[in-house]
Amino acid sequence: MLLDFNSPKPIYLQLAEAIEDNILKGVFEENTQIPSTTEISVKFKINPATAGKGVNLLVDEGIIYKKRGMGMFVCMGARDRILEKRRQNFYKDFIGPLLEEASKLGISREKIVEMIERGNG
Amino acid sequence: MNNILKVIKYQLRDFRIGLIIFYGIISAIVVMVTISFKNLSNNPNVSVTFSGFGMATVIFIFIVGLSCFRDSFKFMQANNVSRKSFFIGNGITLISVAALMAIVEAILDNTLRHLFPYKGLFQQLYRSNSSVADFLWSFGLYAFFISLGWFITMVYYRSNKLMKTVVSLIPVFIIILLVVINNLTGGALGQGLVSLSASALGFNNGFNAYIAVLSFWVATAVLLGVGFLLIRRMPVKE
Amino acid sequence: MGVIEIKGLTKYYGKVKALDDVNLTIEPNKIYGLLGRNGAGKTTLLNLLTNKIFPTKGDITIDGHTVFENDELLGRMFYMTEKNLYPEGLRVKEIFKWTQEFYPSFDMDHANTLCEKFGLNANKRIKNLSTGYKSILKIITALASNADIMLFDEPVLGLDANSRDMFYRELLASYNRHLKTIIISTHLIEEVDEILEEVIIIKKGRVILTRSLERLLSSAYMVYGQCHKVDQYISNRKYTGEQTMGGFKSAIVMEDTRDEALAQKLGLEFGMVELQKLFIALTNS
Repeated sequence: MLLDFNSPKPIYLQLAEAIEDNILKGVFEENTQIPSTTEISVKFKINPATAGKGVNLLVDEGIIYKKRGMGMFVCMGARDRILEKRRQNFYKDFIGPLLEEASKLGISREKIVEMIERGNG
Repeated sequence: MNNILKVIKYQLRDFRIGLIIFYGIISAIVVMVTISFKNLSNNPNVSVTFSGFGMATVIFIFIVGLSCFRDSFKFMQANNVSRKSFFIGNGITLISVAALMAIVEAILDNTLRHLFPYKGLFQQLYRSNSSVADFLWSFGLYAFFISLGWFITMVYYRSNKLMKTVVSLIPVFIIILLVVINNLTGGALGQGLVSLSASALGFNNGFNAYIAVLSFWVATAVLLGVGFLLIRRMPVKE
Repeated sequence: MGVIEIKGLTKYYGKVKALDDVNLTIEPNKIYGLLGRNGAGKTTLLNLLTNKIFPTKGDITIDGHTVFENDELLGRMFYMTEKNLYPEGLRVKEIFKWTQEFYPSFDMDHANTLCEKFGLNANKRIKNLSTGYKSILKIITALASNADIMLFDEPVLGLDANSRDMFYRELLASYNRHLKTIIISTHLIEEVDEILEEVIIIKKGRVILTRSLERLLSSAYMVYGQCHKVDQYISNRKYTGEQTMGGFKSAIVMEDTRDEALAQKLGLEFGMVELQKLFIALTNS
């Protein structure tokens, strides 16, 4: 799990995404415990309030849940929920910027499709 | 209240080694002198009187006073102790050390004279063998000198560079001024000062030690009082 | 429950004004960054907070009670000074022992663990410690003091990269174990910005900004593009740190949300601002 302090994304969002990535990759399995906000805070040298904010985002989305006095666990079905969310955001996060950059460079839609089919630049 | 006790505890601990060394040396001297007198007393031609440890103790306690302000104040400030607590604790320690050393002095004076020809500072000045008077007089004397040492370091600590120079030069100026006035008045000032000191020490009243005790305590109170005014808004410095 | 109120605080050193009418509220249990350039007045403020010196004007209270000469309130704070106030002849372990006398919640085991972690020999006398280890000693004493309010003045000065890293982690660990108010004065912003919750920026004795770091950064952004277009965009906005290069210009807009529509119309682009950049822009004279 890595956080990029120079990235334009706020740290708490990066943290939430990093946890999601680990769930997708199977590092954190469903119904298993993930590191606490205090552990995260010390490990990444971030304010616990920031860590808490990232974690709460995932709690609100039903991806992780808190057990009183026990810690935080991955929800059942979290993986599917993340996949679904990311698929929905795929256009906004990747295709949108792609088309925008392409139009700046004068690359036509046909050319883009051709590039994708070729599988490289 | 808690902090005051802690300040006392720290300072007494701080003085402990100095006191042990000082009294270690005194004991060694006492042993040596006792042995020497045992040998000398067989010789009727030799007549010696040993004049005690009074002055040594005065110098020692003055140095203790000089050394007990700066580092302690900084350390207590590092521990966020208020100046008032520090002052009270510091004052109690000074007086306690003076009392302790006065007790030892009175005991020494009244034991040693039975061992060999011995006259303590008090006996020499007041020609009295009263242990109580010896203790009270020594206590006042030591309280004054330890407070004087403490006061001098504090004034220096409080002063900036310019003030330090001024403070150091004041005694010189006073002495020069006194000498000049003394010459102008044909020695009257000198005589006046001598008789004033003699009165303050009780020499003019049939060697009354209790007048001296009173003078010592008045002087000590003045030093501690002015000290308190100085410490109240004392900034912490290097 | 430990609210520090600073009202109209002014401090002169002779004729030099070190602090000028500072007003601040420090909320309990947050990590504050007291940021300013060298000589901005950071140390003066911390010295006043802990009554090491007295103000020319103004008052500092905790929960309504003045801190000046107040043993109880002063005892709730631990101040890691930049200068050494410990007697040179004492040993490290003796410093711990005496600190425990004045701070009854001082954790001796924790202090010893930290000594091991930082590689500080507890038997050494203060006078034999290097500058770095003197700082480490003060850091360890502060962290083990378990005080409600911990103040650090340039804590990592003279520390190597490993010790700095360890300090920030141990500070967070201590904060997580038991919430407390922490104020870190520093000019090394990149090192601390992620651990802070609140920021106080001080410039030439005046507090020029005090805000939660998140609010500060989420309401500040960079806008850049053609000179006159940028001018047009920032004309009605609060901005700082303008930089021009040829016909190109960038500026940091503050307390604002990005106006995407206007930017598109003017052909401008947005960028993120990190604390360091913002700090430099705000404190440049």
